[in-house]
Amino acid sequence: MAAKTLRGLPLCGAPPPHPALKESAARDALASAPSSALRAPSPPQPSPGAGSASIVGEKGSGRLLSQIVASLLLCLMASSASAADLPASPSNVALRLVVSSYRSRVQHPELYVYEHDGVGSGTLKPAFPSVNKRSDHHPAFSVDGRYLVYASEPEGAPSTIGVWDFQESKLLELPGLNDSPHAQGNPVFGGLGGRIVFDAWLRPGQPGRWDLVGYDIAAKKVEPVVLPGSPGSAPVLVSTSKGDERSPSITADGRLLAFAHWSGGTTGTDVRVIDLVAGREVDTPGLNSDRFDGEPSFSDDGRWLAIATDDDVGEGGRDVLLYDMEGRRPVRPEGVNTAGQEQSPALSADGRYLVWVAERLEGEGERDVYLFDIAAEKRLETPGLNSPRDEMDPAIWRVTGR
Amino acid sequence: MLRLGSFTGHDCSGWSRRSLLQVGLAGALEYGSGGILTGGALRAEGEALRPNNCIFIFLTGGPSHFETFDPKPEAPDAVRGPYGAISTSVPGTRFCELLPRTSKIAHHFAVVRSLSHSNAGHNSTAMAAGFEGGNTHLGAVAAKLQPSTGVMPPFVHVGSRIGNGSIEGSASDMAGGGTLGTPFEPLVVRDPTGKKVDLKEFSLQPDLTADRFGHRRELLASVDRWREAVSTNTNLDKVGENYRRAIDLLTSSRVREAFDVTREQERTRMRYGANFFGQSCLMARRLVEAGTRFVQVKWYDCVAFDAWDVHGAELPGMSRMEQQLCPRFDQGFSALIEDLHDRGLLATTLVVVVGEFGRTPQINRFGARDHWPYAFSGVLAGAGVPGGQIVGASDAKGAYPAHRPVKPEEFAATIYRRMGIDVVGDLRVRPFIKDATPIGELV
Repeated sequence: MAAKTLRGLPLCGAPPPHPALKESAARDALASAPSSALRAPSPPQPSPGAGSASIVGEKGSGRLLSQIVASLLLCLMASSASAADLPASPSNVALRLVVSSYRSRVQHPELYVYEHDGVGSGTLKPAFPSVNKRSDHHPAFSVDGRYLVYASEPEGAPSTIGVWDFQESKLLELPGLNDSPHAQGNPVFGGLGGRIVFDAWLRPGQPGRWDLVGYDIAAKKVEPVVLPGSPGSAPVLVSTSKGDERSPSITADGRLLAFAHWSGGTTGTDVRVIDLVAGREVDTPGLNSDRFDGEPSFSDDGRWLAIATDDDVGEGGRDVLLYDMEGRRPVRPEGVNTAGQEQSPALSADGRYLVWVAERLEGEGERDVYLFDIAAEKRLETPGLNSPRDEMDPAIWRVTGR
Repeated sequence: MLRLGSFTGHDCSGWSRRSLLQVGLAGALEYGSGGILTGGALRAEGEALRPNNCIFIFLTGGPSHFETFDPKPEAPDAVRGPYGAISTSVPGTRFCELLPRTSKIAHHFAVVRSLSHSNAGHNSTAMAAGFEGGNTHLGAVAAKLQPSTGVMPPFVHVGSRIGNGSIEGSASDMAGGGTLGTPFEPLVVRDPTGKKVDLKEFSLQPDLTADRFGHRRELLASVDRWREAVSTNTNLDKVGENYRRAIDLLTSSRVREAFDVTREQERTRMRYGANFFGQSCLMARRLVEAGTRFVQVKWYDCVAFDAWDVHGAELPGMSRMEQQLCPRFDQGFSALIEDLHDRGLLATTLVVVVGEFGRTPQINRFGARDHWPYAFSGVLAGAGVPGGQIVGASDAKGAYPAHRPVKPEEFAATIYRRMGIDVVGDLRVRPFIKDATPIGELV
């Protein structure tokens, strides 16, 4: 895999909006439970050129202009949504991060929100009231930033999925979501926030072992993650009985699904990308190595996919790799990887900002969370974010319009 | 414990100048007398025994053998973990895919896949003391039977002294000097990272003040009084020598530098990993290079959030293996082996990797594994251990030894033997191995 830097991203960083990204849908994502892209895929959308869900790259000189115009449009739309829904943010807040941290409790990590100005300063506060003897981790934002879904492990009980409403400052009641005697984790929002997708160990009704499970928030029921079958036939489950499917990530339109997959035997863990609408696996040459590849994270538009890989190509240790879904090539941003461990990447919705976990000698602790501006090709300072203990599992949401 | 008059040092990073001097002096005396009393520890055993150093890596919490050195990718669904098994530098041998660097150097070490005992509690002392119920660490025995010849402390423990897998502040120390007494307690370095480590104990020479010099004079006077009190000791001539060794230990710049990993190039430090374990391995290399006989590297402080006790309840379960535990071990261990090899030290340094026990074959409802002592893996490298060997095997479910079960006593006897201790002829070691013999394939 060639080592290349990221250049040429538009200022706002966002490729054109996907047709599914409607203002109303963005605003009412969870409450109105929009279309069930995971359960009953809609007819295939025409390729929007350089559009996010498209896996066919646009070519030609008009590409950059198209991206810039589309980026501005997306920013404008998102700004409109944020004014109505988001909790008030100081005017200098450009990015909102959530990390899991052991800073206050040596045994049970908690979630913290870090509001960053997009330049080099920020403030940290607990994401929500702490619960004693419970570990909260693996958070992910909804598209509009209003909700946070995360894994939560009470002492002596299996891991469950929680959803926090920042606007109402309360946990959502989602009956059936945690109706399993076994562990569930790595949740993300999918399909504009109308779905939660997570991995589950031996959840009743699922194929077996680690499986991907969907939850329709509006209908308040669990649903399988499926591919459309051929005409007249039943949908095909993504999860398998013999293999393991874990760590899902879904584009905002719910079309592309990436997850870590181990099929058993002597193969290694790879990242698979599936087009849930077209009902087929997306070819991603150069994405996987013959070693561990996992922790996929899409930008909301589906243009970029970040993964963690143990491949031999990078700086050494585990590295963060970006994959250009449009150009179908791996990209290694300079300044992200070292000879140490880099992992748990997450991208902002527009793909401009990357957060990840790294161990560096100059860090505050061992595992620290770092923030990188991909367009500017530089790491942004995050004073106060990291502690002498571990920070991990970062999520990022770009405060829209800024 | 031998005490030197009324001199009082001040605590620093868990050990004091006074206690250091106590260990240094009394331990040195013990080492001397031991040699005299036995007429030399090394006896012919069919071949010349050469004293070797040892780096003993203790993976607190009990690492899963499935997700490290004994993967079972073809096991039943309820047993096999969520990770693949990758090929290694040894044809036919596979390790878990979470150990990619270690897999590339498999030809440098042997894996015992059939270790077995019966204590499933974190308080098990079997692997650190050589047998269940023992309280004398392998390092203490080695320090007694294989004393260092230079000024370096013979037995150093890097990491906390908190008991095997217990939460800080709630448990007793790990095995230490035990029946051999205080002189063979290890010198403890709690934090090797260079961020928190405070080695003021070794700063006497550069900033020796009048007051501190006065303390040293007081110390000397105390020693003189003590010498008078023990004037009937036939080893008195040794006292002066050992006293000088103790003072050398305190004041030697060589000793001080050996404990300071920040003297390494950043590239080297990063090669080992920018974390507690990686820097512990780096310090261990520096210490054996400087002459320390036995270094124990203990994996972190606390079983709860940063050790290998991956039950899944209340903590991120198997994902900790993927994100935290295996990557750190893989980098630190592989860097240590490669560095020792590159420096020509692997031939004279035994590296051991083991935890209290393994993990259950059955994946629990939390998607993780519980304690399992009936079959697990240990690693030995260097000091003449034939690399690339797999000794013994666990059964198809990784539950019990399928053949060649190896008890902790045999494992300990192998360690002693590879350190150059005559486990047959030297009667002093027999109580610590319960008359077991070394693993034949590895000696």
